[in-house]
Amino acid sequence: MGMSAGGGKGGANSEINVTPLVDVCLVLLIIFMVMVPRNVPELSVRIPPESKTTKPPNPTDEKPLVIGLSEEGAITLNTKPLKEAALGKELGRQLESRDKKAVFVDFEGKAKYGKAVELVDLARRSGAEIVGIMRDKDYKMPETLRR
Amino acid sequence: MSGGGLGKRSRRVPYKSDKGIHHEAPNSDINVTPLVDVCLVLLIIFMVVTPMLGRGRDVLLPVALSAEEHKEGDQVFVSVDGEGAWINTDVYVDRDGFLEALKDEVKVAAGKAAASGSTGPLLFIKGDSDTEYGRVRTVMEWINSDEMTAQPELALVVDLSVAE
Repeated sequence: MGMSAGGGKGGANSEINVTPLVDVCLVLLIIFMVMVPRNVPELSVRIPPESKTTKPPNPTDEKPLVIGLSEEGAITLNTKPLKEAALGKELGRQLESRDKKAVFVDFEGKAKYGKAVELVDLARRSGAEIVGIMRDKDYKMPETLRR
Repeated sequence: MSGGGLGKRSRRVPYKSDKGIHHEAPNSDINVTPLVDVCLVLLIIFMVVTPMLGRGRDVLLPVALSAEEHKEGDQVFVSVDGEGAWINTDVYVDRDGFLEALKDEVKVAAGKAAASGSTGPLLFIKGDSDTEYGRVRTVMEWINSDEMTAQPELALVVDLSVAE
């Protein structure tokens, strides 16, 4: 019984002090929890390159689907005014028969970005695989964001 | 007078130290030293990590019901809000300055993406939901107006809401 460990009064304590060790480990755990890469949800859009040569539209080409959004939030599909729910149905119907499931967006510059993304989302949910940003031919790219 | 004062003092000092040696009352104070240690370490870590996160400036993201998900890591995040276009912690309002800064970021990100073999969009646009669509479109056009930074696809970062 003389061997019983830790019983010796006044003997040096040889056990490691775990408290700071645990502290440091917890801190490391928190760091890695914070730094772990998360998934970023996104909607991909394309900006078609400016074509140098203006080729005449192929008569067999399907008419592109263009969604419009005005500053006040009015929605159009190929300049025809529509409600948001009807737009989804109409897009779904028209895209179903097409090979190129592409939709173009031509929103007014003053439209709310949040609403614009909602429409892009709606177009994608209605079956659009490619969403392109439309540009006017005579539109000039601003050099500054200052108002 | 002065002798008496000295005597009093010399009596008090041993009395105080006696109390200290005997530990008559348990010490109920919390030991703040490890607490402060941990807090300082956390502070330093967050100071170092925050600018490196590179998730762009926080904006109120637009909400979408469907979205593709990409692991973050090698992308460049560009935030657009009412103040201008943000790359990391700097705001740009002019095209030249913006593209200058973006080129460096894209170069680094493209290298990283090539090394890790990741595919998918390289440039993520975080537009503030309350800003004007035209501002975001302008930034996207700036990006595609320079062949160094032009992308086949740009990703609009959204907030994924649970389907109704």
